[in-house]
Amino acid sequence: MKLNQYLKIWKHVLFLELAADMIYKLNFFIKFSAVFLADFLGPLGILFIYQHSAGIPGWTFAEFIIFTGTFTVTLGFGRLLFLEMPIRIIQSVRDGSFDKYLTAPFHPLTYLTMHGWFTEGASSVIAGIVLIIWGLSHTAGYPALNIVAYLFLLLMAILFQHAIMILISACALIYVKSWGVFELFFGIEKFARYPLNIFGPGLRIFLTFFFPVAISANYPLETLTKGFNTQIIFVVIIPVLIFYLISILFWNHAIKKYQSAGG
Amino acid sequence: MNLKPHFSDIVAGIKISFAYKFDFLIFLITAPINLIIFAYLWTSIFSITGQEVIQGYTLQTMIDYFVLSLIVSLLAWSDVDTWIEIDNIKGNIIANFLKPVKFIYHNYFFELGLKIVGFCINIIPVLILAIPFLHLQIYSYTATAIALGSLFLASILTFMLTYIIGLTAFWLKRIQGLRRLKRASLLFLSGGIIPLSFFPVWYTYLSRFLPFEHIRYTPINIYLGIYTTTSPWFTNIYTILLIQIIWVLILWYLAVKIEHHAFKKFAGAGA
Amino acid sequence: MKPIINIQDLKKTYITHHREPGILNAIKSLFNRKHQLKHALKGVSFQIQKGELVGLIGPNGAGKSTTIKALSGVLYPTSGLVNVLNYTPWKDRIHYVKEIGVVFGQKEQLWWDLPAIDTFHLNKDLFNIPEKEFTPRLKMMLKLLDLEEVSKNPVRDLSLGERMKCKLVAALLHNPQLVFLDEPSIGLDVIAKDIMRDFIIKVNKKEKTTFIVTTHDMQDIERLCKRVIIINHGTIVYDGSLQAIKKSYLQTKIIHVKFEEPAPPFKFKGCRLRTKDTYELIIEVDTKQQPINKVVQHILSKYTFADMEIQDPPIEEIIQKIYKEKKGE
Repeated sequence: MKLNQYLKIWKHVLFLELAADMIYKLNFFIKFSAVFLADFLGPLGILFIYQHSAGIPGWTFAEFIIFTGTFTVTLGFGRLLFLEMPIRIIQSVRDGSFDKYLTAPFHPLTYLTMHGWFTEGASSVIAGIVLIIWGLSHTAGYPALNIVAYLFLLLMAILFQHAIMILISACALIYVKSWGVFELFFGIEKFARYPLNIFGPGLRIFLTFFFPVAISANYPLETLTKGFNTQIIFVVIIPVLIFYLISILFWNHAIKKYQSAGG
Repeated sequence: MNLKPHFSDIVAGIKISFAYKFDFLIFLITAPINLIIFAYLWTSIFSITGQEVIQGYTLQTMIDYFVLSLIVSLLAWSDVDTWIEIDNIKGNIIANFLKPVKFIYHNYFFELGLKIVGFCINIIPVLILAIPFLHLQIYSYTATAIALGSLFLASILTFMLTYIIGLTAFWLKRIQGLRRLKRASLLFLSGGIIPLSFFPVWYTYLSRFLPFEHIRYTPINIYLGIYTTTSPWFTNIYTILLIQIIWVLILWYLAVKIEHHAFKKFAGAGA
Repeated sequence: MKPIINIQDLKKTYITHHREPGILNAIKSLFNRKHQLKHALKGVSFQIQKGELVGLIGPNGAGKSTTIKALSGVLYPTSGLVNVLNYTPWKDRIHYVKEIGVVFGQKEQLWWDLPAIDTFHLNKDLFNIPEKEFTPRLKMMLKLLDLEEVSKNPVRDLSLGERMKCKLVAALLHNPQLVFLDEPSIGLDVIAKDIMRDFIIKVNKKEKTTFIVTTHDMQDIERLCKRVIIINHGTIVYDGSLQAIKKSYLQTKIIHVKFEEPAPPFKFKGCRLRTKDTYELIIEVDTKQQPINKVVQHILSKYTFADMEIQDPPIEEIIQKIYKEKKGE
């Protein structure tokens, strides 16, 4: 009788030990893989489109894969470096600990940015790089100058990501109600997943000048394929810088409002 | 099964929906976005492809497809896996076992309450966008009625799949990765990103017998008249509805069985 | 009369695993499993009659919550007989929970985003309570617990104490024969505690509802329970009247006296100095030798102090005392 009981417990424990060791690690591993995989589902769908039609006007399949990879990398970096910022704000305002960010020996925005690290973003960065490399290996190759310009615009795109996170953070500070503010901004970002030329003129203007999310992939790709020209400075870079400035001003406004409301 | 106590779950769902008015506003703005993007995308694809029909869809029916996909999303969704994970970690899940109802139906009818309100409110902006601008129309009233029935079944399928994933939280505690995997793959495999007719032919045959396409692709194609009552068996409404119903029954049975073991795990380990 | 609760030799053992951090250790533990058996309940037996108001007390980790969970049907025991209201709680859960009410002090049991009153009405349908029973009962309970206004606010906006009172209402609406309260007075202020205790006594008297209360608050026990079951390390160390404990064991009081300058020396009949911090004296008074008011008068007359507090010895001490004595028997 006793031996039976011991065997039962032993089996149970063995299983539990195996399971327990893998549990959170499993979740961690699956989380990363899930994001990684999800980033390939879109391109898979586009592959199917190119298999059965002429595809997207002005873009070969390989070019479009570079486009998607670029979008995935910029958004990936945005998540990786900054996503934790607004998340922390919402959580800390809810539990009342936000003030610690105001009393640290740094500018609150800098301090928060330092806490922006969100590891899952790394999956998207890696996925994006894989896509870009694949695309590059299936295209004719681009002049070095174009590549430099492309990389420069990528940096601008990451700057833009920071601006978005600052805006989301500011909104979260003013209106802590729900996570809906993320939905709003991420929703508009979706437009940048596709090249601007498929949209009408109204949207193109909006996505270039007013909410310049087209910096995320469209304009880097343009400089890659067509080369840099001075127009880009006015059409692309200046709107992004202005947008960044506005986001910081809005943040300052949000902090003032928060402090005047007594926190 | 006594349904009376579950009436209270539906009412709870309805009431709690109204506590989240802000989220409705956000949805009003973000829901049309995908639709707009897909409309532009497919318009541009059709403009250079020189074909009238791509993999069974004209431009109009392709846009219809994505409108209907959005409508399907209003009913065939479920977050029960998230709630189970969170409640289990916080320990609040015990409150559910002190209620004289089975956990699975308590959750199902509560979500049904949320879905009813969500559908009624969110369908309005979708129709406002789709009917005048995207020329959504009813191709056949019978087909539409059958499609609604199929949509109801799709909603149950989504719930059961999500519920089963949620139950794994009793063993695994943290299932964010699993949930994300489920969400992404369900969206893709149900035809949420691109119609299944674009997939490799061998997969389209396999997929018919798996539950995933019956979450979205099936009701849409019934509405569009791609499946009819007179088609050959593979695209015949009767066959496909039968498969859908069989999957509802299978997953329902699985969900109940797994819940039984999940509760034993919960109560055995003492939580 | 047949008891409504009959527990015989209830045992519950948990298997916990013990793992050092790090990848190497994780791999090691695959082959050399380090498991520990935790015996939460080592053979608990007791019976409770209808209409009793019993206190279940013991230090943290003693097995109180485990017992309550087993009685509520949300825990499968390792072995033993549990018969409550003629049910085996975990076997016919859905029918069983209609007959009981449970309040877990530390868990959320109400719909978080809705006003408490909504939860009450939803429970009416959930438990199938007839309208003509429900309305007057709800009205009475809201009045007695001073919840008429509070119940209209979303639960998430309520204080811990207000939520506790609402949970109590929710647990009693369907007029259960038996109610389990797990730490019900946590987070309540003094007045609220009083109101809640009066309420429980009223319900117990009027409806003959049986209550089992686990608590750390000695005043809960004093006010509510004639009988206490003391549990420690998974076994019952005392099951009997509160009066008896008080007579035999609560013979000491502890006085904390705080000073603004370094504390002076202290000596008095029947008093033992427990500790002497720089600014505080902790004095243990043997009330058999010296009535407490005499000690207080002495302190008042002889010393200028900043603050004074008189306490019962912590329950752990009483239990340790009882346990030691039981062991010695």
